[in-house]
Amino acid sequence: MDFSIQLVKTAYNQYSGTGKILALFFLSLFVLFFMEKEKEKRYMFLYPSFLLLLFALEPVWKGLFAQMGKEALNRKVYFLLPVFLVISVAGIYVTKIPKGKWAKVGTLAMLAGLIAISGKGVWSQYSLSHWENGMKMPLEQKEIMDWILSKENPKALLPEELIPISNQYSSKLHTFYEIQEDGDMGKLGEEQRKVYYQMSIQHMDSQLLVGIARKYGYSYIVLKEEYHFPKTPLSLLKFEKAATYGSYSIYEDREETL
Amino acid sequence: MELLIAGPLVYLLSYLIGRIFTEKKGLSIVNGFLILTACLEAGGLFAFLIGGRLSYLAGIWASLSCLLAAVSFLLTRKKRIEVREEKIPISFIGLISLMILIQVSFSVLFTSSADKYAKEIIWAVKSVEQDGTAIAGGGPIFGWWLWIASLSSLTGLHPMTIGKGLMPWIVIPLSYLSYGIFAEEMFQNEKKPPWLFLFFIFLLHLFAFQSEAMGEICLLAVPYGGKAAYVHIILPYLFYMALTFEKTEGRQKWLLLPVLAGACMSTGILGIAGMLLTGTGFLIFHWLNLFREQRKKEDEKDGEMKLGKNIMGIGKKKLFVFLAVLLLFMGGTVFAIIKLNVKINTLYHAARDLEANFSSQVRLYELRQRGEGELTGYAMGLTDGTLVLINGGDENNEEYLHDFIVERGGRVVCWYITDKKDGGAYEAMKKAGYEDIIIEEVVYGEGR
Repeated sequence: MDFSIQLVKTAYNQYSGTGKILALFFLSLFVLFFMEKEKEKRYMFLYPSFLLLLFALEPVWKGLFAQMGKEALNRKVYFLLPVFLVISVAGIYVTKIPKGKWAKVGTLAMLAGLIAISGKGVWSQYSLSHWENGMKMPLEQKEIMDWILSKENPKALLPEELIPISNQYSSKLHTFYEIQEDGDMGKLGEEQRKVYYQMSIQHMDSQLLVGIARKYGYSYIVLKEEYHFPKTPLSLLKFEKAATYGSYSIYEDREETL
Repeated sequence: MELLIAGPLVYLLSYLIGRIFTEKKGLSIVNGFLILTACLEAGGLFAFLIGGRLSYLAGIWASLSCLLAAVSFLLTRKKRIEVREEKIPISFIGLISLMILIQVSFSVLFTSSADKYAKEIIWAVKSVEQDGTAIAGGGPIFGWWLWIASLSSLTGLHPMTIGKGLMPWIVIPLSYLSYGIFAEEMFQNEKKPPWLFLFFIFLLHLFAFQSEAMGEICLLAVPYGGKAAYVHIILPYLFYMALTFEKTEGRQKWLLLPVLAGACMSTGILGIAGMLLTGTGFLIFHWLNLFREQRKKEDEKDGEMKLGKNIMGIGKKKLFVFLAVLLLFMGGTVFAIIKLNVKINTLYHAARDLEANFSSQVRLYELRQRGEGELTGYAMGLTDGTLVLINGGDENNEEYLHDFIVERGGRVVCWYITDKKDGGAYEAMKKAGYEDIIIEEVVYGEGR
């Protein structure tokens, strides 16, 4: 079972299409424009698709949209909303053209191939999830969250990769900053940016990090042992290792108790 | 256990509620689901305005849904017995089930980079933990996340489990159902096209992702996302409604419109504009159809040939529209190419400046055997006074390398050794145990 999953995963990872789905979408619109005989149906497909496409690609409209701000600019991708419907319906019309049985099968295979290569090799972004906790969340990360949440003051500076998952796990765990839905860091303050940067590099300025943590009452710092090598060991700054889960270690502020 | 009950319960309630509108099973499930979504959206807005708790909202919503389902069951029971639907072939059901199963398994077992920023789950978590509906950033105006929050509140399961474990089982089959009813209407009286259509949809799901920006509408990546639900459940249903708008009974269609607008609004796509566009779009279709029918009748009356047909059988009007659109896009493309050219030039100059800047800040050294022999490696002196070394020769080069490192600050942040034979100097230095230099990290290449 594991072997077959691994095989499928490798195949997906190796798949890399052309990313030309837009061209296929265009082609499908023209197919519908010329082959759909019923006016109402033709308008139904062309009205939303062409209008939205016009907004998305035409420089004048695009310029106007851009004036309306970032949110409006993001809507340029909305022309792709009916893409599934348009391509599939156009596909059906194309399969109706050949008369013979084998010609039809050939056309179908060709269309399936076209769809497959028009995609983009995004499978490498996927990874098998850990189902130990039913949340598609790696166990070690869950244990870290649970450990910090069991404390009186659940405030921790975390490596960048743990921030989005901790925001999904609990809003009670303070992470100093949140990462926006699209990974945007635009709304971060100056000190938040410093923490983000230091946590993302290997040789972090631990004195700066500890200074900010103490200033805002953050008692815990989580480091990935195989990646983070602080310029000054955290133990010298009175942050002692309190727990280790997988590749992550939690350092606790012991300054007051010492 | 809760997961096993919650999923089928959503389907059952949707089916029972949707029966009031239609005799078709698939359509009634989609209708019912949209009604449940619109009710949740309306309830969320109301709870937000009066400062109500999530647990109350979830409880009232669940009770009302059950009541609504019971009432509609009683109202339609008799009708049900009388009407029999045409049986769908088992092979067709098997094929579609297989496609759905593959897709659901993929969504449940795999995790994507888009999963990291699951805003619906983040909002649901906040809502559940604070037992409120007024969540900063995800107010109930776009309340698709209330599905996750309410189900979490009712079952006691974590919103992540609901979003990533249960929602794929609800959203993906519903999406195929929605596409299916559209295909059935679109290709009436044809047997093969509906399943071919669903096969194309399946392939598109598997392969066709335009970019990371489209992650939000990718059903495989975010089956719990509002925008994905809009594109794959509501949009096909909208097209189905557009096809059947004239055939639908008057009262029913005007009742379904606000339901659809509410469901559309909850998914957050285009926000309130989405709701307005949906409504106006239908009105435009409605009036256009009326206008066309009237014109058709007039034409028939006059008995005149329509103008604009040429010898090739392609309407002049159609050709003109095609050429106008082509011209518009060609003009746009030329403009875009010019703009792209300017961008490339700017990028080139920026890269050249960056290279000059980099060269002035980073020093590159060649390492030779005892400082003058054959080339044994390279060293980079960084701005913070540290070094990065690549190889360095055999053990005879130890002294020279030691002096070289000490002269330049004594700190090596990374020593990259590509091959065993090039690591001799490092091994010798390690044995010697010099205290005046720090080697922080040693990375070995595949040749070792």
